[in-house]
Amino acid sequence: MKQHMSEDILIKYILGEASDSEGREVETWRAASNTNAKKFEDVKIILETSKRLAQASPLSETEAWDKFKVKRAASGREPGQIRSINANTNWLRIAAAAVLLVGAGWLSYYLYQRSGMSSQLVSINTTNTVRVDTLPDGSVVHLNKNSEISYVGNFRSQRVIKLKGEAFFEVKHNQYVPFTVHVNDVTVRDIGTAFNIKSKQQNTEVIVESGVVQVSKNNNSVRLNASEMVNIKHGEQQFKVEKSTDMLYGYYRDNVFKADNVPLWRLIEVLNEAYNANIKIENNALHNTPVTVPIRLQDPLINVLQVIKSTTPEMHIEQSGQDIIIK
Amino acid sequence: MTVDWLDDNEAIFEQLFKKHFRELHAYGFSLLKDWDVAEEIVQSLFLKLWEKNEWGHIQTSIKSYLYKSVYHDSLNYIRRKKVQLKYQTTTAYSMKDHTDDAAGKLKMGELEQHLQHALAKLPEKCRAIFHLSRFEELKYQEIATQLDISIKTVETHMGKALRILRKEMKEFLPFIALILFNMFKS
Repeated sequence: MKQHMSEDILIKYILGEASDSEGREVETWRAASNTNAKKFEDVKIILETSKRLAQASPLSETEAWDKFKVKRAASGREPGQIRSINANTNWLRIAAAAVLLVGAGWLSYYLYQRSGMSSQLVSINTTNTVRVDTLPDGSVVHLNKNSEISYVGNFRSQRVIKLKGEAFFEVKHNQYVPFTVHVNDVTVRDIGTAFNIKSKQQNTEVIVESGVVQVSKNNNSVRLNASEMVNIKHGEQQFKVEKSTDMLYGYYRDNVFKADNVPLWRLIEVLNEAYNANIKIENNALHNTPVTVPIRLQDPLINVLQVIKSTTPEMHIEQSGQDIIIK
Repeated sequence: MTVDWLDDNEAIFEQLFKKHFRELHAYGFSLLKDWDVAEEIVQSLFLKLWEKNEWGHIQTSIKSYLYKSVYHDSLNYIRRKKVQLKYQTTTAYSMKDHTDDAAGKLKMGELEQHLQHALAKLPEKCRAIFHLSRFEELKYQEIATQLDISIKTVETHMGKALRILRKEMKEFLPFIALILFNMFKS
């Protein structure tokens, strides 16, 4: 017979969280002596009385929300404060000296880098977030999630990039130094352009937003103009130019899904990708329904689906496990 | 189109705010014993959330994210306060305590009053867990998830809280037990 009972188990029992065997243990212990019964009662009183002590906020939701709006407006408008530098703040001088020193160090390093043969391999990769980066030549790359680019050098004699995953490039035009992206076994060569490249399971999709791009694989090559795309499957030699009919591919660059009269299946395809979701359309009649909705990348998927649903009254959305089914 | 969407966004945020504000306010109060500071902390948390504009991403466990943040912000506040208090007299504080007590006396029974007082003596972490268990009536598992700790830790803290409360209430409990005893008899 146990004389001592741990408070932890006692509490668990009173809160209804103890296992059956712990419960029996407590009951035998409790019945064993008056002291035990008293202790049990004490703990129970404390736990039950404390529940009544729960205090409710003295503010109403509406009151609090109104206060919030005032606070938000104030924080939005508040200009940065300007403070005069006090003449006797010595630490500021020290800080200034430190800044100068670091600055000088960085400058000399920078100059050294520029003059030297910079042949360092640079690689930029993303996991859970989209990343925007400026390349050494001033071109801008938007790297989608789980993607990687790498390049060598400072882009002054050549601009060659290796890509895994998906990226959108806004290339700074320089006719003497072509900008080339290698992805899978495909080479995309730009002639001053903005374009999107996506590689998935060794398939490569190139969409041109503006300018001209040359896409080549082995001995084949095509030129893509603005609003044109190719989709090159792994192992296929032929590829044909298609019209790029929507702007959805740019969602991770603009943080917006530009769904303007897009067939439902296409929107769902992009949403599945962006949210890593598994949405299926089981009603064939809805497959090609044109949808026009504004969606921001940071909106929760559940809200997005509600908005889509509101555009098409006959649509039903159900969740089953990990899957979301549109009927 | 964009404007509509922003309005929508605002509406969703407002919903989120209104749904959680009061419970978070009460939680903050449990930790801080000060409605004004608790309000400030919860308001700032929502403002931060709005400004960062990332609240859509925290979709699955927004509630647990909010609770966790109030908990950490409150503890940080207490920590800062403690440092400040070293250099200050505590007059203002103890005065406030007394007035609160006086107002409270009108509404609460003696037992509750003493327990209230005893609760204020719990260490912050204990108090947070006690609040979630007793006031929000969360299961141990839910508390553990919310605060990112193990169930075992929750158990230990509840035990510790009870030990402190029993010690604080020592002179009161026999008396109460007697009343209950008499109540059952009659």
